[in-house]
Amino acid sequence: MGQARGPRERAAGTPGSRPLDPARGVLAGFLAWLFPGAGHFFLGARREAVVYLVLVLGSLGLGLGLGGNLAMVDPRLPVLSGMHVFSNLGLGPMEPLIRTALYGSPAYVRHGEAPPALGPPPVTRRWKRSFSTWSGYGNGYLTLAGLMNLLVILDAWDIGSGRKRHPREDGT
Amino acid sequence: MVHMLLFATMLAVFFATMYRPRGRRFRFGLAIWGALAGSALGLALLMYPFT
Repeated sequence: MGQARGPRERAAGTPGSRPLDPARGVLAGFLAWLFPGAGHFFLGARREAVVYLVLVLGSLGLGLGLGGNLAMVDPRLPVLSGMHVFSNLGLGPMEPLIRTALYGSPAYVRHGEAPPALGPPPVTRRWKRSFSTWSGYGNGYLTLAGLMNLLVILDAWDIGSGRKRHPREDGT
Repeated sequence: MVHMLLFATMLAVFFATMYRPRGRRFRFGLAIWGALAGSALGLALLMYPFT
């Protein structure tokens, strides 16, 4: 009925209504890096945690299923390819595991040329995967998964430290 | 086309969840989805006009 709320009620959901807690923010961010959605789950935002988990793992699964490749730093384009690798690293500890499963070793730098010139095994395996019909789409989904999880980590950090409202506190 | 729509849907759900409080996400997500899908189709039309 549009009742006016008192100052105490108005302040309840604002970011500045409780003291900042950087340690809790760092812990939430670390958990989010450890596994997608874990940071929000720790903070009690379970609905958001499930959404992020499904989106990040779904995008990752689609990327791998479509034959996408994780990025490697190309010495000829170090900045751009380095940014691409950084986006993949947003997936957290599972990224080197996936990289090892795909290429036989956690190779992050592309040494040598891809076949038909002989290259080291990781480069060759990566090159073979790129022949999949949908590999380009797969690359996009893999990049999306990493970038989404980077934002999820920052979001968990902000909510945990008190700089952003908890999803339960505002809205309906 | 399917992948473009799926990609747009995932991004829309993601940003609506992150940047809007519970209960006010649907319209924002729909706006993002429309902007992504609409601009992609518009760009496609400009580059290769549909016949």
